Amino acid sequence: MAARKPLIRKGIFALILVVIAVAFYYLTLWVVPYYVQSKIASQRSPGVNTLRFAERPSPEKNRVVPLPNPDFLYSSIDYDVKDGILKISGKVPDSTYWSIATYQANTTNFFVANDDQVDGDFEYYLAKEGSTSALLKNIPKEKIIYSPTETGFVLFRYLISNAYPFNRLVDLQHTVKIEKLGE
Amino acid sequence: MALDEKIKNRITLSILSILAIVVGFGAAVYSIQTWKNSSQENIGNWQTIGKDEDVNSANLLSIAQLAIYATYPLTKKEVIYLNTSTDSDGNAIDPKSDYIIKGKKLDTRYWSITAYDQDGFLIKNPIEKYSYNFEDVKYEKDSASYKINLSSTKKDENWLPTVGAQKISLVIRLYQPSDNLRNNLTVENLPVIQKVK
Repeated sequence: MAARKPLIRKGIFALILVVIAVAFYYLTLWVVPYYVQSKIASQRSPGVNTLRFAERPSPEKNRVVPLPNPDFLYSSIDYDVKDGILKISGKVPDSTYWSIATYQANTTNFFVANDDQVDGDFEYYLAKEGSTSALLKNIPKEKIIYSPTETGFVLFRYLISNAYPFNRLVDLQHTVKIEKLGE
Repeated sequence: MALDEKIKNRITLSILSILAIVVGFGAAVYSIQTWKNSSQENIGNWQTIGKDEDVNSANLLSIAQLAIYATYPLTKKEVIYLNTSTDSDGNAIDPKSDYIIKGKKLDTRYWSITAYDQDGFLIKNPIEKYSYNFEDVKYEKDSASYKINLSSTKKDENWLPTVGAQKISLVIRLYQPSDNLRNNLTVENLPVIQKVK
């Protein structure tokens, strides 16, 4: 009986080691997307809650985010809604693909609207999930985007097409405005 | 002597615990790098996310892989992405060889085929052409089918250059596909990649 004790102890310890290995496997998979988002955001300028107008994707200029679509003109915002709400507004093209998509801090997409769903002008209010801010009181529900995380990323896609060549889209791209509203 | 034994045991336990952490971390990195996961579905030589999965609801491994290799994808409701790094015979695409990509118009609002290098970035080339889409590809006489020349040497029509790349991957984007296409995404509907030289 006494001889079996060390054997049981070794078995339990081996099991603990397996649990540690499995836990670190899943922990790494969970952490990686947050790390990627944070690393990409740190390489972008200007900083948070500011609009960034990208140029047309090219081999020289697009070396940070993989798989850029050369047919798209992109605009983006690294957001932080910890202390407030972001009002994002602008114009939508009438005959080429356009979309606004929001990504939480682990890079997964949680909201998207395209030009088929929005006519002419768009206006969205980005707030953290569960926000009870009085500023949202009179805003129609469909205009509020609740972010599951305090930080994240907004990405606009404009399709460069025959109807909307590059220069025309650049003008449209610059109609987008971002305003930080109080708590 | 007993104290020495205790210290020795503790050191062994610590080393084994660190080893378990390294094994867990290493296995995760390896799994990410394989670019394979249970959320994937193969359609011929093309890969896409499976019918019952999506980019924001897939498993942790799939989300980690997308974050690194295909950052900021849209959900399937908006776009279907298909990617491949092999020709239709299942052989890796050789950047120094010539291929013809044969396909037909797809029932979707916007589709494109883009070539990427070994790091997932656009390939620098003299004609600054990185993709073909529903508007700029030159169709055959039937106005529905097309042939794209994937090659490192200049071609007269529909040339998709691979100049200087070490590895090639292709991505098809199907924005707002019709329900018919969405439900019948088969090898027959997708472009064929044939090696010609």
